[in-house]
Amino acid sequence: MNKDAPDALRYVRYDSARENEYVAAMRQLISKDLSEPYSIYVYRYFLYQWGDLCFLAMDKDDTMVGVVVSKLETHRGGPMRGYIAMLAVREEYRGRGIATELVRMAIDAMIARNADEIVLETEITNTAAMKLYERLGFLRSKRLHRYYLNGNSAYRLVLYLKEGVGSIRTQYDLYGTPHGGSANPSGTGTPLFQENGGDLI
Amino acid sequence: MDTDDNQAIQYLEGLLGRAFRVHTTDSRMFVGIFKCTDAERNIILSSTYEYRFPSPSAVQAAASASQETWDEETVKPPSSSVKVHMTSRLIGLVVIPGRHITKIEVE
Amino acid sequence: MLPNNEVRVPQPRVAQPAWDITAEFTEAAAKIKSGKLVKDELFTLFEAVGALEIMDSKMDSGYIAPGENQAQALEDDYDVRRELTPAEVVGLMDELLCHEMAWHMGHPLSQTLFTSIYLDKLLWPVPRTVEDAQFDRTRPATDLPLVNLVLRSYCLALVKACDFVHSRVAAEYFFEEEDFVTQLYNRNLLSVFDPSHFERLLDQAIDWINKEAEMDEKLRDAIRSRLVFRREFLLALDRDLDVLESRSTVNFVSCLSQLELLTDSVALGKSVPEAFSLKIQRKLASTVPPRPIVHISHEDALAHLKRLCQDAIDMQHMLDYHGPSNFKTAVWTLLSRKPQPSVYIRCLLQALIISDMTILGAVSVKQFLYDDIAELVLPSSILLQANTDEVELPTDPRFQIAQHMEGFVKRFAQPFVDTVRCACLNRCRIRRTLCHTVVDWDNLQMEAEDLDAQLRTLTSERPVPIPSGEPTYSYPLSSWAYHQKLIQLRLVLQMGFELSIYSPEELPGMYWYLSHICTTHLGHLDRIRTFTVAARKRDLMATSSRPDTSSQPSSAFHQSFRSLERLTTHLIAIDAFSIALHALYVLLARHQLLSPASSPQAYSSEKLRYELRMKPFIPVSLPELVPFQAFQKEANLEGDSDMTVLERASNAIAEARRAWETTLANGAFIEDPSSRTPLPSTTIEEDWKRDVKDTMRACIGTSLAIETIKKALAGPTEMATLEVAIPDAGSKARWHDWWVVPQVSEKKRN
Repeated sequence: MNKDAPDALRYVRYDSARENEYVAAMRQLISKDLSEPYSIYVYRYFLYQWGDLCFLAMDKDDTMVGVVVSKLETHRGGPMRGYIAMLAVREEYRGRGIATELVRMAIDAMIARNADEIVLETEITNTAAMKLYERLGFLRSKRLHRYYLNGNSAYRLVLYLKEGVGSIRTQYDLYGTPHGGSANPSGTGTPLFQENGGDLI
Repeated sequence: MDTDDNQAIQYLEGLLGRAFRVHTTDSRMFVGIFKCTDAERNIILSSTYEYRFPSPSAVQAAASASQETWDEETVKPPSSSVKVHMTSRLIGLVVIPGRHITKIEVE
Repeated sequence: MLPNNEVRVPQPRVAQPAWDITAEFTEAAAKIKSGKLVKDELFTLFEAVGALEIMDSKMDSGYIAPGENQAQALEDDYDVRRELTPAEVVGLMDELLCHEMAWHMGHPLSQTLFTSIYLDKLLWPVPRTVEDAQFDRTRPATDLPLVNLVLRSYCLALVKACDFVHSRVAAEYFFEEEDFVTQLYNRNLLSVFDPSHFERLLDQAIDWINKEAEMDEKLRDAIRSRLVFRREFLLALDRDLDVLESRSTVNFVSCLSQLELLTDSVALGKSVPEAFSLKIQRKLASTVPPRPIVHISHEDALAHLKRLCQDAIDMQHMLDYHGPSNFKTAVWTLLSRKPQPSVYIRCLLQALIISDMTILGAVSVKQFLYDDIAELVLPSSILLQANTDEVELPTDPRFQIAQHMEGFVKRFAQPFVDTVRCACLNRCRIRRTLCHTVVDWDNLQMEAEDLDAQLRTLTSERPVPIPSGEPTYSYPLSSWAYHQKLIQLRLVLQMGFELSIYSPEELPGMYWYLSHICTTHLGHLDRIRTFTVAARKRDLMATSSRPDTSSQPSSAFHQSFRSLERLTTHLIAIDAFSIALHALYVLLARHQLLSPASSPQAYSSEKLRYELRMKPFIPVSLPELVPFQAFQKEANLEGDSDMTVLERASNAIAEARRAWETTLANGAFIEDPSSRTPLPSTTIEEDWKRDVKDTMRACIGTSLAIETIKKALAGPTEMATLEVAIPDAGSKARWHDWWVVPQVSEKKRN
């Protein structure tokens, strides 16, 4: 893996027995990195349902230096869709492939659970993230205008894992139609799980 | 799960859907419908209004110009016999972290 | 959903009794097992994600940091009664204008105008009368006309202008939340008051300032121009729909002229930053996290406003209906301006394009639909003339045709108008909408096919031999529907270039696919032409036997042939350019000059990525998605030598340049042959020409790149010594968003 990694890093799967300790560390790590604010229940939402799709990178002192949080569920009655919700690596640890390794672990775990596709959004200004995912075989499937609270646009990145995923029918796309104003189910303006326009993932 | 725990859960479940007033360390009060809690009392309220006790200067100003306070809520806090004007605003769905809660009331 | 998603929940009854349950609750909660929750069955964890966390500075808009004085945290020390210098008034007006434009650009009021303490005082509590709306309602106004007349009238007119913009945007069917935040935070933009109140106040303020002989002349002029601008802007917005009747954009024109003066005097202003405060967010009814004040520069604000006024003025050039293709070209061209017209303009345009099932307030939707069909496939046909009013005998075929056609109009008019209206969306939405509508049109085409089959028995249509096959029927309505769909498929691909969604390694394949769609479309136009020619022959034979021939059908045929010719030329131009770029990119890819985004360790194969990329095309039955193997062969030009590919690129780009020249010469609009006066030259036409010329520049750039490759392949320089840069969309080197022309150059030797 990372032969030249100076400190031995440990990659572990999230463990619900250590919820309090892990969640606190994750929140700290993530709130530094991401512009969108997440409450404790955002973490609950992911970890209570898909804790096995969350991976952590720990340094030699057992301090958390990287995290990936994801979920996996049927998308509108169609394909089994994985979603990478959060990815963060502590600043001084970047450039060592930790993020890529974490994402690979998440993808591998999703493949093991029969995922058809994996999606995520990234700010169009975040070239590092885009490069990371594109190297792994994701494509930009669409651009989302003013997607984030800060007014920045995003790309939706998608990875197909099986042939025929593009033909799987989903239920009628209520918010994808050209017809107008859209509901925002969570009401926060935090586009964690919705395209702008309220397209639930 | 022992019966004691069971009873505790049942008690909490019985409160779901009731109107709560949750007071916080910064002396605000949140009035909303109780939807969810965890062991740490991270309480979720929906359709929540935030109530804030007015600052002393505002109280003074309100007293001197005692007319025209429409659009503000006139409330009488349970522990007080003095009428104060609290400003309120709708803030929707909120989580109030247990560590910031000073008092929980049910209507 | 209601465009304005303000939550209006009745105020809770706080006066009700309540019981302290802190101890019981805490004790009970402590017994919840880790990883478990007590929650309302109907309340999902997914919903919980939307909850804002109180006491978190990033989420709680009412949060006051420890150590922050409670009183100071909520109330600003700023004294709205204080005297202001003329320079400060100019500074405040300009700062407010910046905030107004930031709101127009899509930022919420809570981060822009609603950070102004002056506006807050005017608007809260909600004033019941205009007189109520004072900076300080508790005490009688001070005798400071500069503040209480000039600044106040400016502020009130500004808020009323926002009210007009707000209701225009909110009223439109086609608006997207991401473009514009309609949230008012339980405040009101003076919507109940007639604008005349504010116009009167502005007039008073202008009168006052004119009499201020003492004031520095430059400052006086600066304030006056700002007040006049306010009045004109308010009038312009108030009467924005009247333009259909009046054809007058006089108010927007005077806005523009005031903006000149305004721009020149920005430097005179003295900013008053303390008159704006984020603390107001703590008092707004807000279900969103706190966010910082948005600062945009005077330059950006004025540029946005100028464009808004200019777009509004230019809009009148498309209000006269000169046939369907001219109308569609004008709408698309105006809305494709860079930067894209503002949300307000796009919403106004939507309202003008269609309201009450009428196009531009003049043409019925049915007429627009029929005109388009006539122009493309049925220049002179009983189908478009049949009328149940004239023929009332149900057994008469004409009656039945009319009935069928009525059903057709009901089904197709809306989707057809939507293809035009779609341009009013933001660019990202346009592409996504096209991905959806293309599937709808696939179904519409099939329905039209059934209808065609029924209609041809009623019209006793006789089949026509087509060059490459058996005699066949014309299928006019489905042919027309297929044409719409092919346009949409092409736009899906072209807007993909514009939105930069393709990775470098996809470029050869995407240009190949674009040319494939164009070729298919050209074949379809040929088929249509065959039937129109046959119809014209029949028509001539019929009329030659009748002496009383009218020239109407002849002119209709003429127009149709000309329209087909124009469409063909334009498609050839796109097709040839795509072929050239495709071939060029094949060469770059073969010689490892394109650095791919995906690594060899990627999880997806090329085949999977192709499937994902072509997903919008998969559900479309015609044209069928090209299978991956065939696509790969074509996209890589397998089996063709470098020299063959190079020749292909050279020939195609030469053809493209010719075809774009012809397209430019054909012009943006079709002149009406029956009208003696040529269409007036307009700014929209200029935009269209600029677009074609930019495309031609991109062609030249492509020629240069091909030449460089040719030299490298032939001679002393080698391919390995070349380097390739792909200019970003929007950058100067890009020439045109739809044409990704690589910059090929020799590597600099160090």
